[in-house]
Amino acid sequence: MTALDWRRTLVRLRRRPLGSAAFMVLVFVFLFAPLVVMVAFSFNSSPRLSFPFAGFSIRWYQEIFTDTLVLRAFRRSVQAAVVTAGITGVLGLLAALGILKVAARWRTVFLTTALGPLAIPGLLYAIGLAVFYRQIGVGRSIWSANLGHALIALPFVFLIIGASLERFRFGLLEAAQDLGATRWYAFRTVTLPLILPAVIGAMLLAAAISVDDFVIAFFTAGQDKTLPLVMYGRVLKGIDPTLNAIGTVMLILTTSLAFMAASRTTIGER
Amino acid sequence: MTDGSGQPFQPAILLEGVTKRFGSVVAVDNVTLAVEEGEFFSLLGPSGCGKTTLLRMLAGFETPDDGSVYLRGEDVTLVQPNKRATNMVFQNYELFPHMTVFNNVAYGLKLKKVPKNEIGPRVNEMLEVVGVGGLGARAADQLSGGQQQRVALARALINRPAVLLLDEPLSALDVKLRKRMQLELKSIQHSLGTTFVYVTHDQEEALLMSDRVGIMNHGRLLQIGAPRSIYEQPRNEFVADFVGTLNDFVVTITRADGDLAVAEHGDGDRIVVMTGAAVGAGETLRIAVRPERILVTPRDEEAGSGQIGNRLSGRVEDVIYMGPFTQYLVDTGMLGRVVSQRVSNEEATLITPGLEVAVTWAVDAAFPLSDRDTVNTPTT
Repeated sequence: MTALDWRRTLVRLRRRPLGSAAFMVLVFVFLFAPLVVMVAFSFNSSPRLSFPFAGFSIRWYQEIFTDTLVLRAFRRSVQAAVVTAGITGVLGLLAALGILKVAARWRTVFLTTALGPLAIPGLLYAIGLAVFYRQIGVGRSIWSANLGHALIALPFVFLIIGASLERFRFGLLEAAQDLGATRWYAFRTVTLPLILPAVIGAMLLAAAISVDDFVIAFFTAGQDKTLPLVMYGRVLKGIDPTLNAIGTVMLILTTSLAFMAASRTTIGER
Repeated sequence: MTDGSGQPFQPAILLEGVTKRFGSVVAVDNVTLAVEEGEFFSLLGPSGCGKTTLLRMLAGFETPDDGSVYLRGEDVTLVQPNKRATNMVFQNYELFPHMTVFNNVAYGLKLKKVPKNEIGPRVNEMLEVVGVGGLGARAADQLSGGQQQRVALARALINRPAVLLLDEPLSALDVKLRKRMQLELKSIQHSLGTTFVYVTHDQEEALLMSDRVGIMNHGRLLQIGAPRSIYEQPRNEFVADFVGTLNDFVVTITRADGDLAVAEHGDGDRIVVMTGAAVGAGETLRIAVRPERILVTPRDEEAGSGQIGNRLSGRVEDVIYMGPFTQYLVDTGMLGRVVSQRVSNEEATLITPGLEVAVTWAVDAAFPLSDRDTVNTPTT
């Protein structure tokens, strides 16, 4: 090796220090090890949650998919996700479009008010909602929880759709109008198709927030237990292997929602 | 003008005293203008002069604060853009990125409820006309700048507008493509016979393409005329200076002879100016001469000096080679620096910095400059 080769190697090493790679691995282990353990034990044939594995089995999955309590909770969670996505999609789109018409000096006020809930702990909303429902005489049910989910998810949806409108070229609407389009026709044929990826992405995120929620449902769903509430009930009786199976199902559900949301909104950035 | 029932000689566009203000800024100031049917009319001016606002008032995107806009004799001042028989080619094209080229061009036809079986042939024909035949299935966001420009043109022209409005449509293209598109646009306009109103800040472009040019500054229309008259008989200093480059002199008259005024200065330096009115000795005149009308001859080749024309002696300061043209900067004793621009040829290489030369131009090459605007007075 010539002196020059040595120097090159040194430079290359300096560019990619080993230390940082190791650190990255540690971060990933910290982030994902708990999930890996959960997924792994969901396929363990023994009910004991300890190594070594007794063998591969899907009995816990069979168990949860025949358990009416779990199935009903699963259906409620899916319902909550769909309703939340629907409500926030419509309201978020209208709000994001509406704020464009607001004079610039008022816009900050509106934006801060609309996004404020992001900074407020969900627990406060949950308690507030529970008290509020009681005051106006609305019973606790999955529908009450749905509204709560819509409430906490709306700022995210508003933010995402608003950001996509920020990048929207409004000159396109002038072009459409110039060609004879009414405002409504231009909205349907130009604005909506172009921001639709962002709207769908935002709705998927809202669905994921709903599926993930524990605290709102805990205070407002009453007897209509969602999946996280059912799991909580089981944890109180001790760690049960079916929890791993339910957890894995939820993991797949929420991550796929989040992935879809992410890919949608990235397309929307074009 | 209010009766629009197919009268002959109805101008395609008539603006009457149109004014538009944005806050305290007067973007368009009392503009009156008629554009004839089939004309290629350019609005030329520096950025911020109000030309785009004027165009947007023709399209209906802005409503005048004062005055009226007539389209083929019909008052459209308050008519929405989607109800006007104008179409626009936008500066950044504004093609619908989520549609194919075909659907972009068909957009206006669908809105006009043109039968489906007619849309296809018409779109394809129009794409051929603008030179992008066969690109119909291409996504609009996968086109080069030149192709986008052509598609934008097709999308507007297919609606057979009474007037096509073009807002600096070539400014995003590279020089070579721009030159080609200038000629193509001109020939498309000629073959379709559509009235074009073309906004540009590029004086060369305006002169090259237009039947008539209107020069704007500070919201005012300063001069309207054919390219040649704009260039050769600018009516005020702004127009003269904005369109082309200029040698701008102030001369003191020593002798007047009818409508010829002569300024003499030792050494046989002499400037002859044709004036409309009689000018007395001692008065000063402001005149301008285009660089390409100024001839530079080496002093020792100068022919008999008995001629009546203009003549200044000077020394070449610098020679700037610009490809087809060469510029000579000559320091003259009487008028300071004079710029001459000539075709680059063998002879031109004989003139080098430091050379003693004679500067001459034909008497009719000079035109008087007034500080005052003949049409409007700029506010600054």
